[in-house]
Amino acid sequence: MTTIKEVIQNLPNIFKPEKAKGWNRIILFDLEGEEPSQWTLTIENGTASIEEGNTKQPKLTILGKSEHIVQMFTGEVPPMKLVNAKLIKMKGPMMDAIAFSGLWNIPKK
Amino acid sequence: MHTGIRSYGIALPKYRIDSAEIWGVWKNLSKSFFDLLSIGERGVCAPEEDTITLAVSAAKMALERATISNESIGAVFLGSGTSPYATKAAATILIDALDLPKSALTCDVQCSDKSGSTALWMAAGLIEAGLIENALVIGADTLNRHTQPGMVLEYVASAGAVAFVLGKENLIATLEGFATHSHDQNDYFRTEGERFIQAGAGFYGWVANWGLLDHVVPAGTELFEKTGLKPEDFSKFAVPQKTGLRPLMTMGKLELDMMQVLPFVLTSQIGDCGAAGVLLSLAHILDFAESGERIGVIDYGCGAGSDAWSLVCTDLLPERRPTRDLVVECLEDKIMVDYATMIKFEGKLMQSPHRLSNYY
Repeated sequence: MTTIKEVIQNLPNIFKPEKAKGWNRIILFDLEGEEPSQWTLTIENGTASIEEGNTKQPKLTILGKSEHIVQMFTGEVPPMKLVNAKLIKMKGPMMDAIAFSGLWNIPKK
Repeated sequence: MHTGIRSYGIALPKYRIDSAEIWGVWKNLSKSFFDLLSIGERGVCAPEEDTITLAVSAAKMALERATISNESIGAVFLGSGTSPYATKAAATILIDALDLPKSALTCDVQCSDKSGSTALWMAAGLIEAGLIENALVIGADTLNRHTQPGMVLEYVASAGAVAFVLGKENLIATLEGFATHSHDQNDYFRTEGERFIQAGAGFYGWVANWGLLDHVVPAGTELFEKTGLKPEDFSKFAVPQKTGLRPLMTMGKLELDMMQVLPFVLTSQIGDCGAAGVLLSLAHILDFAESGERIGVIDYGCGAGSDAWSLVCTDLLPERRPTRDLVVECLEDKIMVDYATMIKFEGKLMQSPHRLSNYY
């Protein structure tokens, strides 16, 4: 079973830098569920980095259960399905929320 | 075409206000709309700042980056819907402020939010025809000064200027195709003698975007037909961004991919810069674009129509691209103010016409 820590720390590896040129954002994962935790994702100058905890003022906050975030980034469940079912919520400009979803090479299962 | 962009420059007001400040005073918009419309921060003009000062700053930057003699500028076009003058031209001030030749064809272009795009293509026509060598074109607006306190437009009404030096040599991007579509439509407007812009069809909702879709779709479709290009032939698009809803509608109706459009929408960071809005998005794209990339621009002016055009980045872009004062840097270079300061700076305080020289 993949843990939330493994999934989040793998984000820089599945990040598409060419899609994020000039798109600098701080994104907070504020998670409940099986593995409650907070992670701060910084996208700056075409690179993505992760820190544990709520370390910076986020522009976009992703709320939900950790198991759903795992499902999303491992490709088990399509992201839009989780968002439409309100299992994952995004707080912040809708433009950023949609653009965020296009920044990752999520495996297709 | 042989004409294209030689350099560009931008200017944004340093003062900004957070939408929460405005909401705290008026509470006139459901909070659920803020994320939906991507409302965040918007520019606040300093007391001495107006369309002309912003235009001068942007033009100065573009001219410095152009590495040409000012004497080679044959036309100066200022596209704006918020010129400080109703009759007198504002572009003539740029001639003096920037020490440009007095023989240059100088003109204000008023075509709502797409004034900058329209001015750019008018100047490109002159260059392409061989009538002039280079041109300076600026799209600049101060919508914030012309928005009534309490009107929902206040959440996004902003200001800015983007300037381009056009020519035929040492280009960073070559202009390619152009299409336009215009007919009368009652969108945002301001009649003679009025200071504040009125919403012809509202701020949000489907009706508020009728004007957009009635123009953007035919113009965009015609661009694709004229050039034989398809949406997937473009790497990026700069699209109308008064609120976050407009990029989504443009994207959906013209079948553009979300990643061609959304990373370059700046609404939540600076609001609606009017004639500088789409051009600012274009400048942001050029800051990071690669040689050979084709960029689409779809500009829309309320009640003015839509211009759709394309440009292709040249091999010179990497070496000639700006290394400082990028759009992202200027967006981050800010001073936040509260609502009262904004009202004071934008000259919206009621004052007695018989006031003394000071308040006693």
